[in-house]
Amino acid sequence: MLLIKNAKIYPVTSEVIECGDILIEDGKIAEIGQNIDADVKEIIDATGLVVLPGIIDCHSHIGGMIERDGNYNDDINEMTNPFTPEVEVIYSIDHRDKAFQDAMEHGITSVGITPGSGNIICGKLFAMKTVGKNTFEMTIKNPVGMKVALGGNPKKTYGSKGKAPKTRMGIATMLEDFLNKSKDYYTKLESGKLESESYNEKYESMVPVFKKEIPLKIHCEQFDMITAIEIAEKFELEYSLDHAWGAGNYIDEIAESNAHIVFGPISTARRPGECNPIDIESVVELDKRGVDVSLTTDNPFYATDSLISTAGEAIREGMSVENCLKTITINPARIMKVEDRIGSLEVGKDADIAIFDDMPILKTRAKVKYTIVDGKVVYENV
Amino acid sequence: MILLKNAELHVGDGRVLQNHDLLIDHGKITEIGTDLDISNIKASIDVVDCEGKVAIPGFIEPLSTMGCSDFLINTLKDTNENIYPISPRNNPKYAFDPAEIMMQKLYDRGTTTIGLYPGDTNVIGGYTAAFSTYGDNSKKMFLRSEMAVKGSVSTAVKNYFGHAGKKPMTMMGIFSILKKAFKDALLYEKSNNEYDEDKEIILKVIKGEIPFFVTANNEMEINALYEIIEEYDVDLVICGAYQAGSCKENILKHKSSIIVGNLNIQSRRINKGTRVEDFVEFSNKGILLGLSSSSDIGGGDRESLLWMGIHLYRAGMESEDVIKTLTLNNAKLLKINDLVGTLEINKLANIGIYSKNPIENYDATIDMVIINGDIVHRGGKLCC
Repeated sequence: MLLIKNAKIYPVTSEVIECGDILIEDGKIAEIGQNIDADVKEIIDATGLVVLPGIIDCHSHIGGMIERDGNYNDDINEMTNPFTPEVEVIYSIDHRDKAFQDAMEHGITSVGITPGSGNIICGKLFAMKTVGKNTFEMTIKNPVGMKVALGGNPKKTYGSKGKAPKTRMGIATMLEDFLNKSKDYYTKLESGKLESESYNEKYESMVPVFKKEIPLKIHCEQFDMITAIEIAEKFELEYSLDHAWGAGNYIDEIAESNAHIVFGPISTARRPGECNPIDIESVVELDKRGVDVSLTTDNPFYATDSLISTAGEAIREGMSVENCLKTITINPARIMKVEDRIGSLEVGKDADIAIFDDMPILKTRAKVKYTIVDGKVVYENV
Repeated sequence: MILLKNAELHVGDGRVLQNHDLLIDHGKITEIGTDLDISNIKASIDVVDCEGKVAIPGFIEPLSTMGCSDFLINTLKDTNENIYPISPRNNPKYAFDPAEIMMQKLYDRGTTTIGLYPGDTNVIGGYTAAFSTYGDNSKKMFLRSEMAVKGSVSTAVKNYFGHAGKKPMTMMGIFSILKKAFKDALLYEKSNNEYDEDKEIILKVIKGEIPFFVTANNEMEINALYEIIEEYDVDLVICGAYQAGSCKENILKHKSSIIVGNLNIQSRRINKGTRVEDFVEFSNKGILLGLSSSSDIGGGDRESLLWMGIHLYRAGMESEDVIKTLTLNNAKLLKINDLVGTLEINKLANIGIYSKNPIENYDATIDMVIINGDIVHRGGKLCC
């Protein structure tokens, strides 16, 4: 049992509590309120401190890519076929990557780790905590999405070698074709009409997508977002538009669609084509129009703690603190369908908590004082 | 003419002047004081009410290849003349495309000057140059060039040349090339051979007559660099410097300068074990410290330079010292501090006006940015 006392609590899914307590038991939040009376040995006096839900980055590759001296191993891109829905990135993740410890020390307690964007359908992503014994023990849920990529990366992988897809036209055709075939397979499977010889590993891997158990996570920028919306909605699938650079030019289309947005990374060079504009300011407008926005660093491309600075830039562009906190807590939890466990401070959820000495998305110098994961203090900086 | 009224002026050298006015004329700062009297000025003046606002010198990016990408043939980036590892005469001023720098919108976040360098793959690559970050004419945007000579002993050199099947493909290859370049310059000096511009430049480097900016990230790269330059008088500026914290003795002994490279990109801060506190310590011990959003694996963008300042602030540097590293220090390193880097009379009017201190607060909006006395960006709610 652990009791956090006298804190300014931001539950995210309910009103801010100016001065309150949180009781933690068996790794879960047991009670949130004022002056909780409990016989607890471990007490954190959080007077003057800010308590947030553990922060979440839902578009991460840490543990699967590590840079060393200008080179990096890339174990998250099975670029041997444009369609690899059967691979699960969980098997490529080395929990010993220092990026996990560093993330945890900065208050990021969970990540959604995804395959890269080298294929059209790249494989399954999963959600894990940033601290624990090993990747499997740290896993919250596998899978939490199916990664899809549009744009330059699949073209580069195959087109540059004289294979399909070579163009954005080809990517759209091939994706639609594959979705048609796998939907057909799913329909037959569900109605018992699938012959046993017809077992197809790739189409079988798409079943959770058509069952609506996992969304599509579509890497797309600029006008590729329109392609993503059109195809995903044609198949009536839940989906997020990841990176979403240039969303500012497509506010109406995104707002009228069912898309979730995962925006980021920012702090990267603008280049003609996919990489211009990179407009963090667009998330403010999207948020006003009722779109679910999450923020990401695409770590390790940019260090995980830059998620806080990314949120800071959204604040700078006019987002409210309350809504901006959602982009790094409950929204990423929802898109991964793990909001029953993480993303806000609610009774019954995992006790994943970041305690800061000031509001980190307002004050640049705010430091983590305690990181709590599954009810245990895993980092202390007092 | 523009008059900024009643601003909290951060000079850039550590001084903060409360409720001060600043007058801009013909692109320069012409007057700074309290309650400046403009009643006798005949020319039209835009008066900007800066009550409650923070005015900071435009930030300076000291080390970048932004603007030199040549997107049309992007395999031939214009700052990578890396056919030979030693090519001292190359000047990035010829590589600068205003359209690319405008695309980066650096001015949007208060960065008003950019320092260019010839990449990280040459052992000695050429000169530095400095430009304004706003405009459509490279001549009008040009500030200066040939302020320093740039080199590199990082793995970027061997990754590039080794991949191309040329020397150097190892760290020992890199250092043998550097050693030879220095020795050849000395031999040339003693000889009666005809004038050789490349060797003249290297002579200036080894005599300390021109600063030597060298990309060195790892402890072993920095230590080897010191071993080589020990017998010379090199005025060393270590660029990148991620593991400089493990080379304190050499750096303090030689009083070398440091330009810290992008800490976020590819999670370098984590992978290299960088302790940002070490840079604060260097600064406190009198080392000239600059910050860059670049690195030898990429980088350079609208957001990162301020984020670098925030890293230093979080590591314990005072916010006014952070402002100094991003303004006066970066200007000194580029040897353009006679032109820019502080809010002082006769310097160029390169100014960022914020709703609050952007080093300390994320909710600091960038209300106005002025470059060469022109308002290039308006955000927020400033009246003019």
